Amino acid sequence: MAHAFARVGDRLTTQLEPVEQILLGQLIDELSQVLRRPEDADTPAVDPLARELGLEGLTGIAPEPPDNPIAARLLPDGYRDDPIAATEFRRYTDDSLRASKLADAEVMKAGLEAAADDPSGRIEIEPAEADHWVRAMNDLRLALGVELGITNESQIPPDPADLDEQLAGRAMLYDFLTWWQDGLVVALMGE
Amino acid sequence: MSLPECGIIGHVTAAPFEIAEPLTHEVTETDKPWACIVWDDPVNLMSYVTYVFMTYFHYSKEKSQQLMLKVHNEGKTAVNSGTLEEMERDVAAMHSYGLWATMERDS
Repeated sequence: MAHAFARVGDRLTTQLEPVEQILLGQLIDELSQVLRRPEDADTPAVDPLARELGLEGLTGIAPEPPDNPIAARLLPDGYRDDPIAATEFRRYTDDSLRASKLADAEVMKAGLEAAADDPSGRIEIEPAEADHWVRAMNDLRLALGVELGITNESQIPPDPADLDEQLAGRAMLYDFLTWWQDGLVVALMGE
Repeated sequence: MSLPECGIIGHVTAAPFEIAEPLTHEVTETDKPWACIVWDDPVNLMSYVTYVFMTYFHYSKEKSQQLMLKVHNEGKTAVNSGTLEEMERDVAAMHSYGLWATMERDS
């Protein structure tokens, strides 16, 4: 059973069972897959200088809103009723938003790997890593929320007993991450 | 904002506000024409949304909780206002935290 977060000096610690490490690791891999642009595999990356200068939006074509519903939730429009402005906004922010979310996922993945290397599954989160962790946990919950159909119309997560095996597993992970993320946020704010 | 239904009394009491409103409006219009709106979302935790407002905007815990409750109860709320560039930065930051945010002309 996973442990709640505890404060030790300026760090937060927790413990995860091996099965929890594996399931969360798989979930992060799936998330990272969704966050990578489909064309990234065979097209050269954005000019590094342009990226450094924050000009990457000037060099590429405007990216389309994602078809994948999980990507659409994680990378939403910045304007609600103005598709042209939304496209412009996406042109300038899509690369950096994807990169930011992938970096968050990597920090959490590294923490899970540290847990796998520790006999008691211990994880230590340094102050500089905390924001990455809460954001990555949130992105995982948003992704699972899309899969589970948790929308404004049905606020309550579905009961795992009412779902097929695959979705029941997702619902349990969602519940676990809800508890875990809330614990981390409370630990971060309670200083 | 809607006008009072009808009647002389309603109009009389509303009159001072009718005069005062354009003056204050003019100030905000020129200084802070855009707003960053955060929308309610059934997945984002109330504790997390409060944490984001405290961490990113450096609002107090009390103000952050009030804004979070406004989002939760009213479906959306403006969390900051400023120039177009400032608000685009805020909306992008809210997206990085997974909050559902958009830009609007401040009204």
